[in-house]
Amino acid sequence: MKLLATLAWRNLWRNRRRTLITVLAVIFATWLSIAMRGLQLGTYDQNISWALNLFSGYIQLQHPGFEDNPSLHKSFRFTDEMRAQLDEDARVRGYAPRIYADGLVSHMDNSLGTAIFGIDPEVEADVTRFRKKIDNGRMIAARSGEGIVVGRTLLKNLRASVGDTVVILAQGYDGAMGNMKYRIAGAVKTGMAEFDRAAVFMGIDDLSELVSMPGKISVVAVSLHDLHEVDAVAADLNAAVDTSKVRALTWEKVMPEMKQSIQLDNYSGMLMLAILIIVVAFGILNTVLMSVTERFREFGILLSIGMPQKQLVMLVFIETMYIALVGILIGNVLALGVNWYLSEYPITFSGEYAAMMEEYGWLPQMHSVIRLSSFFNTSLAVIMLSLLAAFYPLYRVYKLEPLKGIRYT
Amino acid sequence: MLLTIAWRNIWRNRRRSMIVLISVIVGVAAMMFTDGLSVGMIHQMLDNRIGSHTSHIQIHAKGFNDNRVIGKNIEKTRIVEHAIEQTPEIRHWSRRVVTYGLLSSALSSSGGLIIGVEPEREPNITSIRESIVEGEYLSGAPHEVVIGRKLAEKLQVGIGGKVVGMASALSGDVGSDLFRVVGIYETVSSEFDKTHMFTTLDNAQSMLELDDRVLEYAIIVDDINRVEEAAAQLRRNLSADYEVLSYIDLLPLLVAQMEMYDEMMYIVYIIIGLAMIFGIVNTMLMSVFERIREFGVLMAIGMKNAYVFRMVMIEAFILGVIGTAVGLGLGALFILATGSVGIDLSMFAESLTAFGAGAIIYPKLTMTTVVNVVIIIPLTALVGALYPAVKATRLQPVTAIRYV
Repeated sequence: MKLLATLAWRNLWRNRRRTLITVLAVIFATWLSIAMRGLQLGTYDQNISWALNLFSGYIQLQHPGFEDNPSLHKSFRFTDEMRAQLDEDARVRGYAPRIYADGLVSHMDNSLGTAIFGIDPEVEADVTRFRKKIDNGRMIAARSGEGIVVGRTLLKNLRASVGDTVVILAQGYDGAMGNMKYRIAGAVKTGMAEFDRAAVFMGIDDLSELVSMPGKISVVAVSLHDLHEVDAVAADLNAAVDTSKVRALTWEKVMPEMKQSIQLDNYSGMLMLAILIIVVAFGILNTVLMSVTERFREFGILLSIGMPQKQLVMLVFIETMYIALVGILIGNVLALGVNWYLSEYPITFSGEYAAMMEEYGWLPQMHSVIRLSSFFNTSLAVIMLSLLAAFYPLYRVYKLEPLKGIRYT
Repeated sequence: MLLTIAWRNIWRNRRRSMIVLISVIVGVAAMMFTDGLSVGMIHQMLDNRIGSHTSHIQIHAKGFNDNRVIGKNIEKTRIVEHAIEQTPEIRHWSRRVVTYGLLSSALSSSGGLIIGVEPEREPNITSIRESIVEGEYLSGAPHEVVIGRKLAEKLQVGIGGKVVGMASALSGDVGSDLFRVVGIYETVSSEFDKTHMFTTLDNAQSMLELDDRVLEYAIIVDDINRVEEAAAQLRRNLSADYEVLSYIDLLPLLVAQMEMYDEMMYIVYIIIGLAMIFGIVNTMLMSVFERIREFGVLMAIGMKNAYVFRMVMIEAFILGVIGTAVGLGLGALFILATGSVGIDLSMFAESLTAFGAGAIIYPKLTMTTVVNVVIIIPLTALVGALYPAVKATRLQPVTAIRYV
């Protein structure tokens, strides 16, 4: 075996240029694939965390019917038992009760549809960040009586300024329309178009009064210390509460579009890399086949002086493995460098591309991550495809008859 | 003559040339298919937006698009309609009232756009009538409303259900009216369904105290590629009191996305081309070294270096061209075949509808794809052949002839 390994290595360098070019091709494919995966996966993680921390939370407690029909009637009582359950769970970082309602906000001549969020500002800080996105004025600080905070674009479209009074019209729990005047305390720029354009935040008690729904809330947004514990915590919560009245949904169920658009991007990324590696595999096929047919005379002689056929096949196999492994090794090292660099210094976009990404709720930034599984998986894919590519040449060697080889032209 | 020789040289080592060809063909066909799928998706998104509401061109009072308040309405409708009739490229047009409002049922309410349309003419502009899944489209009678399925679910109303619509009227008061749900529609975009409700133009005008005023004209042109010309013609015929916006102005993000995508695809093709270069360089090198003695003889009997160079380059170029042509054919075939049937991507249904694309994607072949392939791949073949061709010309005839 050691003999074969040495022979294989020396054989490779008999034609230095060809070997180098093939190794270079493998390096190119490996390095590019791992770097791109790093960017893709890093960007996903970053976007997920950002979106969850911005507003939705990692898990939401909702009435069972709320997911399909987010109306006031699908609300629930946030009982002390539920609170205790959350307080006792060390994985929970914080939780915030909220009421969601739809309404019309009017300022002088302008009326616009709005999504109203009743929040408890003190506990929201544990769960989400949107309060920090105040652009103008100040954030409300209590459950009632402090006025409202509107999205920046909404403020502009209403032709209003901080300090103005607006009227909000909304349909209450009992079906009757309620309207009340509120002072605009501030404006937020969350970066997510839907919020900036239509959101109004007010104290949860204020909204409760507006829609005549005392004692009940729409959701509780829960944040955790670790994103990966989401499924476990949700399962535990569901086991502990009365699921006919309330249940815990992970962010994937609350925002399925986000999960799916990530999956879509993920699969199309993998598809492209697969095409890349296949093209390089053809290159390997050509190289190995060429190097094998060139040496048919030599192989014929080796076989006729007694070398077992299988060993000859093994020899060529080891040669191919060397090429693949050296290429993969160097490719991995280079990719590690790139991924590390881009994880510390992410690429930031500006201009039209940035606006477009923000419209879809993505951060205009590409961030890489060093994830061992992508290094491993890509390397595995390259090795497997290289092996597959070498199949035909190996087969030719396997079937080679000594005399045919010696007489090969 | 070089061409004939180059051609024959390629086929002297059939297997090697075949492998290079196959790698080019597979690379090209695969890229084209992925490209076609993505382009299809983006075009679908655009068509859906245009066909559900945006149309090709909209005319408003100046400033309406930035600030959709009822005060910015069109009073002199005759002038605008005259201008429209003067523009030959326009195939259909209709009047609309568009305003933000609140729709409430007994149990729930939801904000969105209340759109008053002309029931006989609007179906020429948008596909809402064809999207009706329950009940019927507007008949022209008063107090009718057509809403999206998502909205119907949210408001918990069905056909015949009663809803109240409220919006800011011209006088500044809140105008309202009682409506009966006569139809429920469903488009590929659930967001759209949740926020767009349709009633008759007359009804909207009376609810909002508009008399005969109109807030928007929606226009469909004969040829979408000539949209800007039609819009320019309209602008010439109308004063500065009006704004004429094409779908390019109205959907800037979508259009930017389409352009962005073209640029990105260009880069992806280059990357795949680079991967191919390695294969081509190696192959051409091997083919040159195999023929060193032959090149030596050719040079000894007087073939100029430039010809040797050209011959090698032409060999690679031919391989690139054939591979591109066959790959292009295969890729195009695949795209056109799946383009009529569509690819079912329903596992991504929710995110696709959030983008406005629909769960079944119809791949599309575009000129850009073809141009990218036809230019980049043969070019990479040429680039790949540069080094081997240069090596061939550096040969000394005597040494070459004696090469072992």
